[in-house]
Amino acid sequence: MKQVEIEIDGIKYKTFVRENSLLRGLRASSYNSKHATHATEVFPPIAGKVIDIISVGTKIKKGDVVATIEAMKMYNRIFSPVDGIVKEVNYSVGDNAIRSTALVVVE
Amino acid sequence: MKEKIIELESRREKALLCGGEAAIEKRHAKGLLTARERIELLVDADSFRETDMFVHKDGDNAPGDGVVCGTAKIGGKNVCVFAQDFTVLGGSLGLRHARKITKIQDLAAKMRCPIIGINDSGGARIQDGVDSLCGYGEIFYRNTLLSGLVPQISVVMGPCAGGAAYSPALTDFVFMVDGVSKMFLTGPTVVETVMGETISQEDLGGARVHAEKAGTAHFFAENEKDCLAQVRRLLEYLPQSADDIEFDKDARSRVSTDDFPNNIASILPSDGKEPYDVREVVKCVADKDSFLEVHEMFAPNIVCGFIRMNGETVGVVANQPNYLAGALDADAADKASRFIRFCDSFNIPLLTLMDVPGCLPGVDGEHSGAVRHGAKLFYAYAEATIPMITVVLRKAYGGGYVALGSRHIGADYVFCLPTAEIAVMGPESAVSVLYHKEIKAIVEAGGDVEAFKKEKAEEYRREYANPYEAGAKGYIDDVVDPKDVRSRVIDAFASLKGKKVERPNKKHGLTPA
Repeated sequence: MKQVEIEIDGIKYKTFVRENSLLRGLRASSYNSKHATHATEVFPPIAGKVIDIISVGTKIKKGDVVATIEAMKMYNRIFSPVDGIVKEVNYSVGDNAIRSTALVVVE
Repeated sequence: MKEKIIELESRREKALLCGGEAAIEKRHAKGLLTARERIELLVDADSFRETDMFVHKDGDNAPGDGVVCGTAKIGGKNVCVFAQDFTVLGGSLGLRHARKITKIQDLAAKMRCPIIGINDSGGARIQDGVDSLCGYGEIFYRNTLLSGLVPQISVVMGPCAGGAAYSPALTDFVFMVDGVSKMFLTGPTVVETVMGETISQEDLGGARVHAEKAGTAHFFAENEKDCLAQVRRLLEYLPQSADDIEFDKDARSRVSTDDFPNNIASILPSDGKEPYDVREVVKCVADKDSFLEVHEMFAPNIVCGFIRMNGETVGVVANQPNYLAGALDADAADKASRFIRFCDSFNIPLLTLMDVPGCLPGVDGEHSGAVRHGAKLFYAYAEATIPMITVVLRKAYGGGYVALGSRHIGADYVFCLPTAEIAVMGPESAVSVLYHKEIKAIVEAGGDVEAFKKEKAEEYRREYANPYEAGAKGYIDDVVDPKDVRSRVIDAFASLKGKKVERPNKKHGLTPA
């Protein structure tokens, strides 16, 4: 169960969402709307312990490593899908990263 | 006689003009090729022999009834081809159009040669009513009968919507072109009406979507020319049919005499937790420049493809530690099991490069059927009677180890690198299970639980996370120096040339779905 805030015709509503598929859809659409303003959230494809993460303000290129997550007995490198500057970092080293929270936001 | 020949020429000229010059120009303006131009690019020069050119619907101005069929050669070997012609009634499928396709399908079965279909059709010809559905049904029926008998290749070069989409899905390999292929069961308009979801054709069923997400497309191409070249390359690796067991008999002449970059040891990082690109390992065991990856963009946590070893085609399945730690999930199981079944159908030996940490945990995965999808992988290996060799590169944990070509599930030889770790679970997890009482006691006494866990994990790693525990029990055949892997695998495949396996006689098994 996740609380989400949605805006319909300028009016904001708070509601709860239970279904994973709906959550994924919402995430995809919020990704698209952010994408339109050239901000890209980089989600971890796998949950795990953050071993290393880039800092705010770093200039990166598509394919650069933004974080390393330890999961499934491995260090998993997470790459940026775009060129840009790291605007937001949502975890510190040692945190457990979850799939629904972006590691970083690149703009 | 002369008039008759003049009539023939004029009829032929009309048929070759497809839907007319204006329609052809319109296509060219969009950067698209016509059906016959596509066939010319696909097959060996001057080898195409068209059949059923004069088929058309009564009274309609529909040359060829919207599809071009015939036989040709690719790489000097027979193939059957059909290409839907969008300039004629939008390539729509009427009964005669369908019957041209089924006729060439039947011919491919008799000739025991691959069949390549180029799909570019608006869908069912509404005016033909139920006849169109009959036509689709007859095509799908033959797709199924030909499955495992001759290689079937579908090239989607335009729309392929509604029921028509199922024909490529029933074939062995599907090729798509960026910006050109559009495949879906219901288009964006219906999706919006019924589900309230707004999406473009490209985002719903474009080449990239099918190559990355849906997994329908095995090969993705930037343009039509590149796509057709890829089809030609794939065919170089395949036999003409399931009966063509000696297709590699001239194989040795193709072997490159260049030195092989045999540096597996330098590719595998010394820290077992560090990932690497397993495709580099594939290249080390394969003949030079012979690796042709299948389904490259879909489920990248497992790598499938064809290589040559000493000139002979070998199928490869390898875990990819660079993506999701190489863990197995539903898509990976779908991808690899289908590939293995293709190899088995066409007598292509299989090499598995194992580095699997296990199956990917998750609620979504379990709820969407990780168990029944994963079961396909076990089924495919167990069912296969082709020569199968497995090389354990590093991790071989739990069910993943059993599934991916272990000896227990049917591999003929299992070789391990000295870095192999075959165990029922990883050291950290094993310690939490084996020492849970001790850990609890240390926590209660306020001791250093992390140091204890670390020490026990190290102990476990020494004792069990190596190839020698499995070696002691005869579950593997040998531990091999990385530099000897290629030659060892080539020798082992050579020893399996005449492999014969008897199976109980039955109608057919039930593949998990």
